[in-house]
Amino acid sequence: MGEASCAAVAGSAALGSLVNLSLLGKLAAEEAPSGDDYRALVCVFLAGGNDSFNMLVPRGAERYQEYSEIRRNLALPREALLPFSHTPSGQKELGLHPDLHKVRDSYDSGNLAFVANVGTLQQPITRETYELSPALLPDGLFSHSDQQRQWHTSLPDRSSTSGWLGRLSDLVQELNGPQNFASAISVSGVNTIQSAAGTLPYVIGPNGSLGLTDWNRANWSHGRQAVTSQLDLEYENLLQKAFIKRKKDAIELNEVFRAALDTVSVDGDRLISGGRLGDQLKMVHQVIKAREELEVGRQTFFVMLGGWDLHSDLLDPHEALLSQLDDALGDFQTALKADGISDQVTTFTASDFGRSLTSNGQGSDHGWGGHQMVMGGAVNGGRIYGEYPDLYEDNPLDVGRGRMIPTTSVDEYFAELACWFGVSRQQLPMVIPNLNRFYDLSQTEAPLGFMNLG
Amino acid sequence: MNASFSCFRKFLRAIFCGAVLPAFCQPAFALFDLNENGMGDFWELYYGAGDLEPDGDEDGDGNRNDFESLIGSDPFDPESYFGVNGYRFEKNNTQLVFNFQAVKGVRYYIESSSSLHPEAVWRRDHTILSNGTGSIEVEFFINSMFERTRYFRVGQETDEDQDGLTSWEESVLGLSDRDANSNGGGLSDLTWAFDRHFSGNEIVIEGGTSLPGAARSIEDVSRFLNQATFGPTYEMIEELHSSGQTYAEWIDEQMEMEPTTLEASLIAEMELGAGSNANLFRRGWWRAAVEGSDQLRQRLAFALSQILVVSGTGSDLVRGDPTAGGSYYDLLIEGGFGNYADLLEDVTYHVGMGNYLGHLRNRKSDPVLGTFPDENYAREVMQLFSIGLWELNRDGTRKKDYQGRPIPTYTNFHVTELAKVMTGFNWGGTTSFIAYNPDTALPMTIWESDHDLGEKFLVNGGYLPPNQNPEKDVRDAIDNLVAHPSAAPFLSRLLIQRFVTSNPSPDYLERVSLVFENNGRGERADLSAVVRAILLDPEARGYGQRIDPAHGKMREPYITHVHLVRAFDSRNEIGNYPLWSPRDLDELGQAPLMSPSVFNFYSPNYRPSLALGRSDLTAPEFEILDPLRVVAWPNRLRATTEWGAGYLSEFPGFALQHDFLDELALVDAPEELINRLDLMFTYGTLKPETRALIKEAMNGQGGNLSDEKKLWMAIYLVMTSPEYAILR
Repeated sequence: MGEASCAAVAGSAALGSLVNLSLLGKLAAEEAPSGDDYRALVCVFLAGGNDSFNMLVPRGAERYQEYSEIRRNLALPREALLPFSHTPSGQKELGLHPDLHKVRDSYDSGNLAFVANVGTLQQPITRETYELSPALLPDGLFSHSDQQRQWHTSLPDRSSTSGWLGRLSDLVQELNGPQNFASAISVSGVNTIQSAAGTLPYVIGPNGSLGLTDWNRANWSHGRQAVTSQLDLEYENLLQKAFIKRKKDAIELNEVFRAALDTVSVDGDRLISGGRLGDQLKMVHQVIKAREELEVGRQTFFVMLGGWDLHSDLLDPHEALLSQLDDALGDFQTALKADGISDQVTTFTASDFGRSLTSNGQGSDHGWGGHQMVMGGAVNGGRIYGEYPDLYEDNPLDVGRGRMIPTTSVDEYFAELACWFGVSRQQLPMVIPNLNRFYDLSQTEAPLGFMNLG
Repeated sequence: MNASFSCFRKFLRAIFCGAVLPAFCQPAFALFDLNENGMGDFWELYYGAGDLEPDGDEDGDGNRNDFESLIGSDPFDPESYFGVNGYRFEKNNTQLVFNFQAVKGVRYYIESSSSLHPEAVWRRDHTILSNGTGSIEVEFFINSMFERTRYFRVGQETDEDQDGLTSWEESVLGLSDRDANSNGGGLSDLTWAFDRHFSGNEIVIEGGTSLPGAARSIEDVSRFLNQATFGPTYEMIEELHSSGQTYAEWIDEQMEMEPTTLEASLIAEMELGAGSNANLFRRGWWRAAVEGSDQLRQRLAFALSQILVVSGTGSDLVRGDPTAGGSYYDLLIEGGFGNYADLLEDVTYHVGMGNYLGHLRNRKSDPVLGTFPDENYAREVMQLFSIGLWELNRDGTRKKDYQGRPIPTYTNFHVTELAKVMTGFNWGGTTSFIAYNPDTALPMTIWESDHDLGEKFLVNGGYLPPNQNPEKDVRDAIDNLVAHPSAAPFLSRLLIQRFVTSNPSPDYLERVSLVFENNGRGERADLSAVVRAILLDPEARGYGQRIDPAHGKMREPYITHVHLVRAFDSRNEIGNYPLWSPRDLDELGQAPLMSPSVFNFYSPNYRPSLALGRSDLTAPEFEILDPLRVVAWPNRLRATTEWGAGYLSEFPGFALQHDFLDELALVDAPEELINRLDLMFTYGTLKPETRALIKEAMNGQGGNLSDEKKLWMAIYLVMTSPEYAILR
């Protein structure tokens, strides 16, 4: 099924325009094969800035020494790190935070990969550029709100209301039927990453969607009738208009969504542990099971786990969060495998930024590049993609206190996922407008290679 | 020799021309024109000209009526107009005598140029303040040996101080057109005149006569109170309406009231049975918000708590210790009408903030341990509490560099420098940097031993010399931020968004920024003046609705629940407020001091572009209005209406029951009932269709609904209507 995806296309890529995607969406539809062609991307956002240099850690003696020298009291003991079963030749020997057992097992069995030192970039830069040309840096570097936003938009050089998953959904709209609300589902609130001109995330909670109290009860039929009439009134004021639209959509979609979810059994979902994150992924799993009722062929999901901004106390809270993440990811993957659908669902992590390698006493501060995980049956797992940087203080990537210049851009990371999702190489710039600054669109190789593109 | 004539109305950035170039003439667009007839309201009152058509010319003097309104001339007097009457040469062609018609009290200028080229330089030869209405002659010496052609023009300064009042209006009102704050109070002249006029008060003008005030409708009073309080009661609306008090006077009275503190509210709740536990803070918060007669102060404190964010979601101390949350919130209650720099200083020293954003026990760099100061507070105090990320103009637009790019207010260098300032803090009342004291009401102490004593480089060229006293370091750094030009528009916008509208016009924001910069008595960052300017601005007082189809804001869901409890005087027998719910954040998206992060419940820049169709519009509160909450919010309103506030099946007696006596008496007269609800909640803006569907629903179920159920339905449909949800 993958032959249409990212197949090399002669000529230069159409660039820039973020509008008029629907036309291109039709092209995508024509190229796409039919059948059980379902695919889903699940974004696990670690809000606050995961200290991922304590998630994926150098384990070789010399590199570990650099690590412990810069991290000081934040360094994990070397003997506690979980080793991988193999280290591909030419890669640094790395280990995992001791609480990431399930992640390690997925990695070892080839279903999980890491992308190292990835982050927001306007263009590839050196430390010299960093110091001399502030205009070439991402806007609001090191700020939570801006960096989160740029992980959502993949546009660090401008203000944008559309996110890359949203633009991706716009492009493959034809595979979902027109304006299918289920093409973008968020279990963690309104977000930018799934929003674009033709797509808005449908927000549900860990318990699914919600309707008005007594909506279907006969003794409240007068209330239902009144609300229904109210929702059909015309308002001049734009905010009133927007308000009524949101309310109306929510009430109507709840009915559709409930009906679809009622058709799937939820056996086994209770096995997804991992606290609030696990609860969210449990709901994602149920929605995926209802994909046929929702008539959706391409779906994006957004779940979020907060609490990673560990300035004043890193080690213990980080361990608790990673342990939750490990359970949630591991159990989710197990559940998808049991359903025989794990090849069609790819889960990936994202976070505001990495953190400073130096310590501020008990915690770490806002950084830049960090490591992310990609998980699923279609992942070329058991490898680290991108470059795991040297960690010694004042190395050429360190812009101060161990804040690392990313060596892989989020653009490349996302482009690879977009390819797998089913957009052509020609369409990639519609999803990731700055991609050509990092990746030659005329080449045949995938941006990073971590996805099995068939 | 030619003469051309024009006059300028700078405030509107439009050029008005007299007789020569009528193509440029536009109808006067006076700001003080609430009947929207293109002519100023004061002018109509003064000359009894309210019935005139703007494009007419009653007196046949060649000046249209709207033009006469702009320049302040009498539309019925052919001698009262603006224009050139003629010119002649005298004394052997060495003198030009120029004759034009002027209106009393207005400043005129005469300019000349050697060319009519668009870039020609016009020299101002004369400025004349006319002390009477009639013709004025001006003489010019001409040396025809040197000059062959010289062009003259006469103009009128229609709004020299650009405060939105014409120079004629200012002269009639006894104000000055050379000072936007000439009324002697803390308000701009425009706001002052608006407030006086629309409170129904007469304004005494020159010569001892008076202009009658505009009748202030009771609906307008309700609208004002919906903006300025946690929701008005029926009695409150009636009282202010009949008092004759201006809005400015009401605000002043509010500001002088004794603050209702959370400290007192927490004690009251404990005396009424609350334990000293995590819920106590919110019970005290509800008591103060519902019962405090200092409503404006309470509302401001809630607004400030969404700027100076401290949250129990990220701090066990704030969540678990009611004194920590309560004493922090009291800083906002007690300091809300003070100076922002003082408030920011108090906030910086509060241990709740220290714990939340990490400068509690923050140590200077330690070369041996290889540690550096925690940067969290330093970053957020700049990004969120004072200046924001981008340099701003007064009107909130971003400043641009020579390449047209926005200019960051600070770099990471400034963060690391300011982080050094924020070192050495420990619990208050301690004897060393490492000692502990559980009293969370005490401000933190700075220990010099752990404070970075090196020099520090601050934003905007600020500099702190080495070995300064640590407290002075902190104060200087805060003063440096509050003095930054961006602080005025940055903070003013955030406050406007909480009270009035999500999208203030640049002019509105500029007027408020100016007050932030100077309260009229030379003081910067006086929050009482800023709040006054926000609420009394013409854009807040009705003008905004007319110029912008997106004017207004979504009400904060949490505030609507307080409104419900206030409107129906809800109480339980004990007289306490067990109203906290662990589901608040999930269902309403808000709860006091429980923001999900330091970025508040919603972003001031959230743009629901798809829904609004205009991508430039922000609507912060819409960020929490996801498909779950847009339904959970009405569900909560309904449950609260029917079961009482804070109903728990285990403890039904704790719920606050509503006093529906006045409303139940009207159930059989649904029109009157709806009028009453419409006034309290939607200030008379319910659509006829909404009223009709409410009446129909009250008659639902075959007309067999009990009076109570009819009333509940009416309240539900009013409080969940778009008319209520959007405050505009």
